[in-house]
Amino acid sequence: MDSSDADLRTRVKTMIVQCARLKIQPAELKDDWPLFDKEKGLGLDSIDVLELVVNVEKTFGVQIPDRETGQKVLQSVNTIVEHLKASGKTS
Amino acid sequence: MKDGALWEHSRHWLNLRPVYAFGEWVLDSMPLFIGYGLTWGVTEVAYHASPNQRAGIEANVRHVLRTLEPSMSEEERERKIRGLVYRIFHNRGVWFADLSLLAGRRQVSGLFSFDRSGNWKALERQLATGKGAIVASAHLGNWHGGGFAMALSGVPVRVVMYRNHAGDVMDRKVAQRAKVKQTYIDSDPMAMMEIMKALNSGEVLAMLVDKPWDSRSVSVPFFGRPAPFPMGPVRLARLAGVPIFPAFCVWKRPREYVAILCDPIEVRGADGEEAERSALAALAKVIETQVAANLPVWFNFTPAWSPP
Repeated sequence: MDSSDADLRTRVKTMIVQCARLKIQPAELKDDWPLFDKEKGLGLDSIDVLELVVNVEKTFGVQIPDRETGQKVLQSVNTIVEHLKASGKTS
Repeated sequence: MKDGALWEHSRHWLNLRPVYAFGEWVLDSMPLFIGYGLTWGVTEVAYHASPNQRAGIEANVRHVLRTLEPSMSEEERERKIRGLVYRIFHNRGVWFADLSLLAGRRQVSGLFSFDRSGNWKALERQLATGKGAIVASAHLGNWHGGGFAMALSGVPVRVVMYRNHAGDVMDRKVAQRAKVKQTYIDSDPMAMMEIMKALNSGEVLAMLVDKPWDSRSVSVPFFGRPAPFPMGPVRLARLAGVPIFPAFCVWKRPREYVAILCDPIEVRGADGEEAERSALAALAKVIETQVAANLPVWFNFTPAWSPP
């Protein structure tokens, strides 16, 4: 993992923690934690989806245009980072 | 999403799919006087055999009357409450019968009338921008009828809802008939993507906002006391940048409805959470005004000020 990748992950984690008003530090968030799983992950809900979608666009300039894309992208920190990298807008 | 208590409280021996299906068949197939007569009979039984629901309405009506008519004697108030609760049960029966007819095969035109009142122009202006809006209603009058009337007038309506114990089958039929789209938000958080897309493409989202089905609620003044209201609609409005139109569909005579569209509430401000709280308080105030004016058709069987 190079420094730009690590930086991107930190920004994504910070965004998730802020959007969902989580009581943890961004660094505590594991890259592969399922975002919406109540038992094994963060247990985010539909309101958090809204916040994430709006903030991904605001912070990174990348749209998550529909439900299908959302299902693929908003699984974990890893999948969000992959989507941002694929879009080429990681700065 | 449902955290349980409210969902459990809304369980009822009449709130079962076969009961709804049978009622719908009776109302759809038999002369109206038989359908409405049977509905009256079933409602009478329901009134006597539903102590929890009666207690819920009584508690709500008692608080409203104490606020609206503080000088009324305790004895007079209790007498009035008993009468109102009885009327509310029977009006709920009429609600069921009307909903069955809307879901059924009968011709709606000529059977129902929906007059429009309030600020419909503001909704037209909002839709002309290309973006949608949120229409927020309460368990007051016939909320399905409001969506139905709006859709029949050419507004692209999408109902956002939780699945319920029985009525969702009928909801679906009413929606299909009026070409109203539906999105359920209890099973898949990603449904919110569909909702956001709908708003961005100019659809009107209709939702009931007077019951906090999940833990995402904020307490705001309602008839002088804090009551929990769901914060989802106001957050959605803020993030999507659309206004909320409080709306109600009440009846004055059987099958003669007035669809009231109130002035829009904007959810804006530098402090997002404060803007949401303020909008929710404004929304609760509008609901309060409408409930006060239409108390006999306020169908909130769960205590509004303390969760069951």
